[in-house]
Amino acid sequence: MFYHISMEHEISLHPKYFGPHLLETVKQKLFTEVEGTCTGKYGFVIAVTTIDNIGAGLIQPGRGFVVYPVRYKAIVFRPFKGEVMDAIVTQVNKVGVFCEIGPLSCFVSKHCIPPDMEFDPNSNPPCYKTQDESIVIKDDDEIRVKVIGTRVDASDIFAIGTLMDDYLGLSAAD
Amino acid sequence: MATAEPEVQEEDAADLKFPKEFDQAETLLSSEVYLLLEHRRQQSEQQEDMTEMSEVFLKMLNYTQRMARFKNRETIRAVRTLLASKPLHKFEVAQIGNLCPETAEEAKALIPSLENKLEDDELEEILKDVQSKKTFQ
Repeated sequence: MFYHISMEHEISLHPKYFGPHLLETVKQKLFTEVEGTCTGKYGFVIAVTTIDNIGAGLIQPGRGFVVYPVRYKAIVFRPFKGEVMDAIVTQVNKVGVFCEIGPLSCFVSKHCIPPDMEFDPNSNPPCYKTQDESIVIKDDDEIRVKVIGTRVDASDIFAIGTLMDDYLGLSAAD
Repeated sequence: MATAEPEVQEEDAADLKFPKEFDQAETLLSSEVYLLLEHRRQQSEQQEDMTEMSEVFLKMLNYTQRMARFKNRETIRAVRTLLASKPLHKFEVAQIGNLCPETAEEAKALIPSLENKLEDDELEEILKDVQSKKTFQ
């Protein structure tokens, strides 16, 4: 799910930046330090939209660096267990289907793909398909998955999904 | 490692159980995210900003471009207004707008929290309105 939420970040600034463009530097630094990052708590920080407040800087004893607390709003993407979303298939093999929701990788194990769908390694590209080939899941297809779990790394999130529920699987082409 | 975390809160979108940071937070439709990111991309292009867009940004831009159901602000606003008048959680509003289910049964399968919240025919009418806004944009 995409959210627009308020967050805080501390910018630590080297004394060489102390000058007329100090606040501009703080802003630039915020953009480069938080955009594109990922945490377990907030998910992926896609883009900062507004900077609401730059607090009073605090000089670090013995270092000369100044730390500014910055309050900002950003677009974040955070997957939740139980959430259904559309994903794009990136790889299909005998263990299951790998797909992506933007920067989020999601794995759907073979055991979470309906049993009437079989892996066909000989077709080009490889795919999962029903016997009568009425449903075929292959590379670059859009599928609707339900997240059953997430694993959080230091700087990434991985999702595990399932297709075993009503109305999941291949998205109807619009 | 997980044991060090004092907050052992279950999260489950099916029951609308979210961490407190997200419980009342503003949700966005993928169409809205697309417009915002695209605007941002154009801006940095104009300024000939040499700062590279992050990989996360570009991946999300591609994804939202592909998934965006509503192509312009007016349609998004109309859908927002329509859904805002209903007793729905912000998460449900965004899920309806993102997944665009066609029937009440489908909607309740994809967004289980809708169960017992709205009567089937009322829900069905909302979905039909969303569909028609999507068709005629």
